[in-house]
Amino acid sequence: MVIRIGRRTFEEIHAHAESTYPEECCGLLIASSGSKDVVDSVKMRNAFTGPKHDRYHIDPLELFKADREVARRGLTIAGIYHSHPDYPATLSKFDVEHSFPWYSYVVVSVPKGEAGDTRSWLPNQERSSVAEEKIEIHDGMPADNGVSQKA
Amino acid sequence: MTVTVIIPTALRQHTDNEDELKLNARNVSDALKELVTAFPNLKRHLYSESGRLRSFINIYLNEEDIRYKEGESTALKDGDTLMIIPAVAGGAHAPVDDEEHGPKVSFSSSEFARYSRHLIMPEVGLEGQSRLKSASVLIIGAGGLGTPSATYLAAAGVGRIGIVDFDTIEKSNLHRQVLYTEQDIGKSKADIARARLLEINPNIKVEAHKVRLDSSNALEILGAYDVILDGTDNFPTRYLVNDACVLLGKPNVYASIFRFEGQASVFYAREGPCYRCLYPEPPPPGLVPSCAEGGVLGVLPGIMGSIQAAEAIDLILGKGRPLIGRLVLFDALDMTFKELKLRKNPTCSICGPNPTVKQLIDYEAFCGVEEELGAEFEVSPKALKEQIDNGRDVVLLDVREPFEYEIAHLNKAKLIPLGQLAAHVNELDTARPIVVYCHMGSRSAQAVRFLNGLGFKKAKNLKGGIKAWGNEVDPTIQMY
Repeated sequence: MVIRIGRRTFEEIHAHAESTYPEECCGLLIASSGSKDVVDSVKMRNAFTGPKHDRYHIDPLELFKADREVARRGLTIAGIYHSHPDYPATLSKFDVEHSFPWYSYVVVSVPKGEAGDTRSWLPNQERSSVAEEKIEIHDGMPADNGVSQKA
Repeated sequence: MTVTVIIPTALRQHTDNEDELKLNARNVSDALKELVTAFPNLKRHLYSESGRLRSFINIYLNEEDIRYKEGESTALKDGDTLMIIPAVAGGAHAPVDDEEHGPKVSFSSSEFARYSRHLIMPEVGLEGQSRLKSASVLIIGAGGLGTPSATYLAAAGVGRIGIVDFDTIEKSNLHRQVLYTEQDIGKSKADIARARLLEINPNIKVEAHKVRLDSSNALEILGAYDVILDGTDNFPTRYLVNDACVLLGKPNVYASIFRFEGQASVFYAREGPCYRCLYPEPPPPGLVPSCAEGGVLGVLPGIMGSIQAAEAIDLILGKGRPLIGRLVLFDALDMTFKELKLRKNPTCSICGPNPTVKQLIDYEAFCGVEEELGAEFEVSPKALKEQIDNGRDVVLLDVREPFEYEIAHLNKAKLIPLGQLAAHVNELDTARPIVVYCHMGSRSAQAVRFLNGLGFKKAKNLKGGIKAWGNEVDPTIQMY
């Protein structure tokens, strides 16, 4: 299992994770339909109302609108990314319990405000465990895909 | 009814890449059933094995969460749009039972016997009982609501229970606070409650916080527990508990009681409205009487506190449909339960998208707790006794209700209930000194303010009311 992420998108995700430190950031991984070729990302607002340093929540209506926009571009939401400030890039038990088997979960560890270890996880159908997906970073995307930048 | 169902992009592989589907259905439940009949691969994504809609799937009808409508039985009409939206959340936060962050709980054979009626229910079982044992609940106020809820939570095996109360037990508590006995009068509520709960269940931990909860200590105290149970009887503390729960991201299991009526809800800003969404501002001081002023049916807090305990257990187990976004109204006279839907207020000052309250504030000031009358407008029971004994001309004005007057009143006191004072004010003489009293001094303070405003410069309030008179001057007065 491999998830391919364009270098520019990957760097944007890291920059997002650093900008919200010490709070968690969250966003969407946008891929061409039915694939794990991530061509873009969409920043989402962390709508969790408690302390955000170890929790995130995406507002359902904001997610719906973003999904419609992604569909309009002929693309799909292939996964969710979020950051773990001062915590490893593994999924917590809470993450796994709240995961969806149809999404890849990319987690960026942000020790002391600097984005570092970044790993991707795929939950099983029962939400009881996850398998790691290899992240492949490649150059040249997404500009040559004819995809507009940022919704 | 022809309705449109919008499928999220990630699920379209199961709907032959259809993004919108037209269906005929009477209600939400029928629509979803028709959808999974047409596309069986969707079923396991939307429903659990027991056939319930998965809790992490949001269904919105025309941009509104069906949880705020009639749930799956919400009726549909032509042209409605149903949206299936995943509830995306997560984070590094480790729940208490996270294997990486604590030992997995185990049970002794005595505990297996104690919890056997829980263990044999599939909704609880060993996993649920382990969750209860790993969980912590803070009960704020060990009074009418707090004592029954604490009793049931302790018996049910909640592993750690905190009790916040700085008060001592009074005789007038005993008609409803059934954890206490005659021998406990004068002792600390938190201490006695702790001792009784440990007698009920020695397998748990009980922590007594004998402090007055305020903005300086609330985050620290509440932060150490998973679920907060609000059993307070005043507005400043209620807003304090709400705000601290929102800031800490914790569920606030709420109930309140008055005379024969009770209310209960779960305020959990992460998933629904908070107390401020329902009541953005407190009522003017003095408008809503407390139980001490208005009375309460003894059994009522037993019912409402038990509802709070059941809600706390549901939240810990992660089962059922908690009272998030729902307000239950109970009437003990008509024996009816009603339910109101509560919505999240998009302009809520603490849990809305643009909050103005970002830290705890001064709740006494926020609730405008009645300012004390100046010393020149107050008289102590002992000073009043001296004046009467010295033969001074003093008009005693009782502003309580007639049935209170019948229980006990001061000699030669004139009765004008507060609500009728404006209509009968011409019966009073502005030139003569007047001492106004009520049960505990709150209603009479309002009366003095009112009379001062009309030019009765010699009207004073009996500090502490007839209750203080009974304690300090005349022990033969019938207390209530």
